[in-house]
Amino acid sequence: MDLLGVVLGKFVILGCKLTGKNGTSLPGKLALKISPNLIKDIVKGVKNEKVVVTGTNGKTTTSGLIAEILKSSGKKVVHNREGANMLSGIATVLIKNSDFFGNINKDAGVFEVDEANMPLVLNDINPKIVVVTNFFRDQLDRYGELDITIKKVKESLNRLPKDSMLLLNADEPFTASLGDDLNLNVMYYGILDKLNYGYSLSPAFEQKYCPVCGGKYVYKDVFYGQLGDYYCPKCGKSRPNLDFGALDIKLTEDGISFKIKYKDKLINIKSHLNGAYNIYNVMSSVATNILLGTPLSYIQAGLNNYRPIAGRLQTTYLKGKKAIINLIKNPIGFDSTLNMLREINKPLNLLIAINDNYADGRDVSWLWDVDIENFVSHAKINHVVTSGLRAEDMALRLKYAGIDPKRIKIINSIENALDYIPTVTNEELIAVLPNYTSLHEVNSYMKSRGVKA
Amino acid sequence: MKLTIGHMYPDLLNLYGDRGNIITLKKRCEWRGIDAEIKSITIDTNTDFTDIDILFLGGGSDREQKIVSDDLTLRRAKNLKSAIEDGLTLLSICGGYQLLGKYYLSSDGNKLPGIGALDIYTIAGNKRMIDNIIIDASIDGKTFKMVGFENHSGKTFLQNVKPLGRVIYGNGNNGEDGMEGTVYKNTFGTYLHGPVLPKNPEFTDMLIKKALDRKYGKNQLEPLDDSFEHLTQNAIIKRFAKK
Repeated sequence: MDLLGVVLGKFVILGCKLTGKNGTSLPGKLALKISPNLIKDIVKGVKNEKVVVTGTNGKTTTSGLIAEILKSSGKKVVHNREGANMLSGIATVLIKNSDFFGNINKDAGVFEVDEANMPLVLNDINPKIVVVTNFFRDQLDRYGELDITIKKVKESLNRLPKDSMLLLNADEPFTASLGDDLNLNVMYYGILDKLNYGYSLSPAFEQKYCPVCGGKYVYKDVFYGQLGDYYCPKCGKSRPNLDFGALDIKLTEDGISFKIKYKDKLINIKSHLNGAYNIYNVMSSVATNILLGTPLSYIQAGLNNYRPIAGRLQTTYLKGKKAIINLIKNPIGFDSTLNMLREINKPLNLLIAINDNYADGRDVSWLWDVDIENFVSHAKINHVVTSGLRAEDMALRLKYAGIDPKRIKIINSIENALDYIPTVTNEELIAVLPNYTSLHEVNSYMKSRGVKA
Repeated sequence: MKLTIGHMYPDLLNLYGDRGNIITLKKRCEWRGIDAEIKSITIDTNTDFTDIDILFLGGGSDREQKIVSDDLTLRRAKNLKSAIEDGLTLLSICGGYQLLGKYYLSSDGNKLPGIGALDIYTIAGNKRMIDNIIIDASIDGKTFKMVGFENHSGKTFLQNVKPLGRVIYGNGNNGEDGMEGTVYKNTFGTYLHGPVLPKNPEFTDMLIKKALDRKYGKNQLEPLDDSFEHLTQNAIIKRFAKK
């Protein structure tokens, strides 16, 4: 193995620590420059199965759940938990977990991989199982359009060894179609219950046309966004048969519970995560572990032990006022978050922070693809603060969605906005909704103020 | 008073928040007591455009653009061209803008016909022009700034037709001649997403006025409080238009 990169990476990690920087990408980036095969070389040392999770939304939660369950079963797991899911982030976490000779003492590896980075890293990791959650429009100006991203992911899957397993969300037509004509062991998960809350089809709704014949899909059920039970009346293509199906779903204030139908078994599952979309994340993490042979008792224990990372449905307090923080990075994520807030059914003060840095996607037009109108007409919203580099765009979006401009305050500095919002809060629940780089600012504010989750 | 806003292919051409343009037209009518009805026009809709006061045609991904292109050029070219000649108020953006032109020359040398309503043509470029954009627009002797976000690789060239404005920051029609968009009669073509209408209220109101003038002979509009609109526009100008 070429050790130079590992050694350099180790020193950069140390440097980041000494200077108080959160080095989740830089060490790997520099190390890869001098040792381009570093990921492949280190990952070879992981004793057993490797899992890769990709897709637009739910990667962090799904891979976190898979890793937590594996840990609960007594395995030592390497996992890019911080969500640094590009080539450089994966290299960094591998360097961190290996010694100076690039030896890694782990039983399993769980890697969240950015969709666009799949072709670069998938064959180096050579996973036993690849999980694909869904494809939504995301950070358009970086990747070009969705079709291109999906094509690239499919090409990289095609190069995997034949005994690899692919676990696909059957309810999402783009993802399900990845399994067509693929020479791998493909399995599907989805929802068997009716789960229609009367949410209209999201305006960000993507796939309506059959990839085979161009006919328009008909939905028997829509779960959210373009996820549901669909078929093409023209050529007969439909949602694939489910290998893992969720039924008897119950959503409560304490989380979600449901049964998974697998072969002729019914498996009871419980999670403290809220929000209907988490059914998919929980189900796919359970399915992955069933396929890896993890005993059921450890699976439920892992789900119980799982704690979301900062900014993913995190509950905290700002100057003594209860606040919930959730990342919003694309229309469907924003929509799901608003639906989740609606389900909580309490008066709200909102702080929405939108930046347009490279990692966010520089185009913020997607804010207009979110069905904010529907949320505004159902939720009780008192004060709104918009923040970040694109605070004005967000304020304008809210005005046209029907929020009285007098209730909206623009504070570009995220720090100042976080200082301000509790001062106008009485009984309301504060919802802090930052996009990607705004969340980093929210997290450093919390750290510097010693605010704990 | 009532205006009917035609939204072309809302189920196919739905990229880059362009539905914000429809929301904005509707709201700015309603805030002034003008009824606004939205009519979706898609593959299976029959219309000769005579019942439409403002028509909107956006852009889509390649696959969807192809479906639209067939429907527009094979089924609707004649009706749409005569509506444009008759003074229909029409806003077309990006892919929609290109389709109103004479042709699109693809990278493999194929000439894909447009409907030929605008005296423009587009050539596939090898570099995607993705950036914020600021222009000095000039319409009916009035000048004002407009801001937006562009994302296209096609390069559009104007022949005997006027541009919508001059580029201050960004690429515009082709990244070469400093021009952006097209104006022909009451038809507008532009590469400005963003979406364009919420943050450029002068332009939006001009579209509404043109439609009211054509339908009712009325070209006065009640002023609105546009402070958020102008804050949004100015934030972009301040960040990018450095002189």
